[in-house]
Amino acid sequence: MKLLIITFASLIFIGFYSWFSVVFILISSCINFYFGKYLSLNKKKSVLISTVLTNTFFLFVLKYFNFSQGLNLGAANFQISSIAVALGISYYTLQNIAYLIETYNDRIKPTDNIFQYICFNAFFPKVTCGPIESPKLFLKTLGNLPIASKEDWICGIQRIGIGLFKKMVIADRIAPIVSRTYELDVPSQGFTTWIGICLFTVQLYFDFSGYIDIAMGSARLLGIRLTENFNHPFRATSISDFWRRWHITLFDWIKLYLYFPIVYYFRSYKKWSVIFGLGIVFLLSGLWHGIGLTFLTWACLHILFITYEVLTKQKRKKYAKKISSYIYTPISIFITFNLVCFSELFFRSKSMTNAFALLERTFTFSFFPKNWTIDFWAPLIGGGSQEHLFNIYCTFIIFILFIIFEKTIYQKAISKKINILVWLILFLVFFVFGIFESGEEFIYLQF
Amino acid sequence: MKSEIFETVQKIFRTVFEDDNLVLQKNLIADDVEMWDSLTHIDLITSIEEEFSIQIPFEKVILFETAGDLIEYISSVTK
Repeated sequence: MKLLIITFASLIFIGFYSWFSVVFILISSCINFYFGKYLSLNKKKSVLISTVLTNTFFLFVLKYFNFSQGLNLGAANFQISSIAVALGISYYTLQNIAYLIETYNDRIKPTDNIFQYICFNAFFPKVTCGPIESPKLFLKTLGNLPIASKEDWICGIQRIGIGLFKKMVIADRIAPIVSRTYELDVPSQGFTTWIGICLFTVQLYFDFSGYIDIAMGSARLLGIRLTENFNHPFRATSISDFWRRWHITLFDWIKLYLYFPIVYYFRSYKKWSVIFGLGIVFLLSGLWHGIGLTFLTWACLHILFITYEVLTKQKRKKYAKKISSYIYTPISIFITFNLVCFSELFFRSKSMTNAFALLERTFTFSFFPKNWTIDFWAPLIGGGSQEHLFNIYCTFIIFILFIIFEKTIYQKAISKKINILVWLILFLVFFVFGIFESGEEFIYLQF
Repeated sequence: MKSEIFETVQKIFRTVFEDDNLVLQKNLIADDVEMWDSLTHIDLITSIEEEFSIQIPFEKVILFETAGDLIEYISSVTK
């Protein structure tokens, strides 16, 4: 009964976006449910490949083709916006593909409960932006739904609170600064532009992970634990380490269903199979996010970074042993963060022209500002008044402190024993500095 | 037979991971060996395949959790 209620509630949630999204997720779920059972009994590779390609085809068509022009089918005219049609498709398509592969390889038994499968895809906390759940674990959870305890309720609400804080106090405060930078509103000055560029990565993290916190918290209210999608990525000491900490469920999926099979198939080529595998993984990851030269450049940069890391790993390990970790670790974190921000520049830019214009502004001879108020703070916030300056100082202080003390904040704020002092501070900061009216849509909703 | 396989696999582990003092144990996992990453993992599998003249299917490789699982598999296909 609980499963039915959650499933119908999820479909109603999706229905608020578009009826077509509901119809499509139902059709997709039913078809994959049926083929999961078929493939567990009939080991026909051709059927597996066809179903995987069909899922991919629909993902590609519905995600990248804009139907907002409308479809004229005789008497009926359809007007479907591409975002509404694509709601959740990037995420549940990957789950469907995982399910088909796992049932084909007998790593899981197909479920007999169609509602369980629909809920696997449509579960409302995670349908819009993930996390991407493993069929083995999540179907098992749905097959034996836990009863939410008092601890689940308390921790769930706390987690939602943290998510809202990250989104409304940090991400939405940084958003206008990032927009101003990328729209080239910030005057030509190296360091200022670079900080504006870096702030997109910060905004993206707090926006996306804030959403995930809300999703995790919402699921926790039902007693359901979703898979963690972030692990303090700004503490990464290498690009490889970064990808073990950022959008973890997407990259776990890619590793299991793309990277390992490719590398293994070409294993006789030794290190070249690893590099080839990495290339395919990041190119497809770029494509998953969007079609365009900017996403391709983003992907190519990460291929370059990780290839370098793979080929020099042992040498770097030996080098690291000779230097104190108090020096090596912060330098590694600093370099990794800047490399990530450099790649995200292309991810965020509207076009390659936009990206190169920003790079031209960044790498100038007068890199550091002569006057910090006039050349740095005021351009970023779009004004030099006391109010503007106070605003941007607070924004920086809040997000820097949050990043530094993130682990501690989570430990203290999300606990069955409510930490009154921590929550008083969070509430105060939330109500004083939160953006309530001009907030931005969640960035990863577009994917 | 199994002890011969164990000795041979240990020799391969020592060569691939460049550690003459490595002691192979059945519950050994990637996290226990400093040099064990995706590159050396591929080296390890291809070296074992060459040494025992076997081909380990991907569907089997992904089920290996420990060195013991690998040795069990080699024993089962080289009887």
